[in-house]
Amino acid sequence: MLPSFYEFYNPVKIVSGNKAVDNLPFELDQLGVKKPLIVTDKGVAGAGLIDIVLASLHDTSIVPGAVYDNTPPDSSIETVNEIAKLFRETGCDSIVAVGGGSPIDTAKGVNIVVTEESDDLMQFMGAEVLKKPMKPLVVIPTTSGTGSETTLVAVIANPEKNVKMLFTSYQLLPKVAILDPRMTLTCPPSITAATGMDALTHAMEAYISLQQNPLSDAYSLAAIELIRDHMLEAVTNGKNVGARMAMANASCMAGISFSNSMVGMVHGLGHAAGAVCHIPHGTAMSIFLPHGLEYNMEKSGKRIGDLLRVLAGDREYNATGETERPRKTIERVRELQKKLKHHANLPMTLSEAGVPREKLDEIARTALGDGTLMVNPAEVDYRDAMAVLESAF
Amino acid sequence: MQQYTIKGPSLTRRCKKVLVRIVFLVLGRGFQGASRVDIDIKNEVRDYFPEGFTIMFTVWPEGPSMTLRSTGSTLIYGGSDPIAADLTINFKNLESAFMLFTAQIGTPQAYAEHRIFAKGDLVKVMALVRCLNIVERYLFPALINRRILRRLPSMGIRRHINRMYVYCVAVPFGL
Repeated sequence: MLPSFYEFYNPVKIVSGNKAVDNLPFELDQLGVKKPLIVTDKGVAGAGLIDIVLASLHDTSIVPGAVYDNTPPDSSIETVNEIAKLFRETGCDSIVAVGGGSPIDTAKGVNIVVTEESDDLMQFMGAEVLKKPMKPLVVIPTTSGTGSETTLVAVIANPEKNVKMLFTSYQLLPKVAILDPRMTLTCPPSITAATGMDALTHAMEAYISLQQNPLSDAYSLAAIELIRDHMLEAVTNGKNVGARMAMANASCMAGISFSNSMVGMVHGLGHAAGAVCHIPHGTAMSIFLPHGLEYNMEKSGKRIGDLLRVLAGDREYNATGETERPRKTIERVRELQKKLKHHANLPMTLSEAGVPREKLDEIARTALGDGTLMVNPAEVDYRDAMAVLESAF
Repeated sequence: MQQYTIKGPSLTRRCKKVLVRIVFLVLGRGFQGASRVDIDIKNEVRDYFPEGFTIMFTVWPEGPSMTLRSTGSTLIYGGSDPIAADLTINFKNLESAFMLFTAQIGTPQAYAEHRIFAKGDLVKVMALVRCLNIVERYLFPALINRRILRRLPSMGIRRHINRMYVYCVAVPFGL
């Protein structure tokens, strides 16, 4: 059924394929820039991935103003403000983010601060409040999960308040996303599994969100199919270029979907668990996904049931009665969780992830401030959040 | 070639604008009254809106508007003059405000349909929406609230008494 009103916007140019990073100088030239600031982290640089990016700039007139490789695992306001200062000092004209969610979201935060000519990111909190066209941002993801290369969202941590802040604006969308399997080949099984579950959560939550629309649905379903067929192979045989390419595309599609049909309570709880206990985002998504689906079953059972077709195929979908489909969908997700636990030791519960029980109260309270709860199909209050956290513990 | 001009507002549009102004007044007084008597709203105000914190609901770009100011424990209706508020909830057009305030759609749906956008800390926006849900529970009958809220805030005896205060004192007299 069509929603009574919806918006959809995705202007990001996708460049996907083997050695796609070699197109970087051409894409920067098309954007009319010469001096990008490269934002990455130590892990990415240590894996030699920045060398691939820099090699692509050989024999071109494009020279990076600086390479910032000190982005922490959770992008924070301090880091954003520090990199913005570097951007100004080195006279850069654009940003290339190379990494997972943290470097990409940090780059988006930097873009806000340098575009608005400010020293403080905090001034620009809110949804759809940024108006100025930003500096060109090119994103080269090194994990397949965040989808941040195609989203209007930046999640930046505020360590002072122990919260993750959401910035959403169409201006935050990158100009180009480059999906090159070389950039994910070295990603270890545990991170491949966790980020893959993040992508699956994006696709599934976007599909059942109050903001769901026919275009975001198409991207969600396509992403889930790719994840269904390629995630385990990418986890167990990381050198499989085809599986890596498929997962990079799945993540990108899921990103387009949830950028236009926001995610819900699984992310709300995951952001809070990440902010309070610093558990990796993908791990939190994997833990909370079946619980979030269960919680929303009463309001969104039909749509959760629809997902069985892509998760399990036509035969199982047709053989399952309509009322049973939502449960079967959740069963399928749990089966996938078990396989990932077996192959990549991905935690299935909060206790396995090292979250102490006494932190559940703080996680629940923090989650109530997360904007994703606004589009979750069912209302979530403190008691509800605590009940879900207890069952996920 | 035929000349086209932007015509003045139709009677319907002018009526809708008047209605939105009235609803803003009722809502503002409703917030003020409910924040004096409802323990959950008091808690939200205490936790999220420090003394002097200002909130504005407005129809983009030029109103109507409604403002609230926090005393640290309650919210005070500040009238209809626009201000540079700490937190602003913008309706993208008059029609969207009209739909929300005539209970044709609820806040989650309005947000999902991009009919509103917020400037300020989203954590505080979420707290404000929780307060709004309670205020709507006081102002609208259950039949309407069931359509616009994902879940009705509970109505114990205390809240029925509060509702009498909101209806009979807070909204008509602005107390």
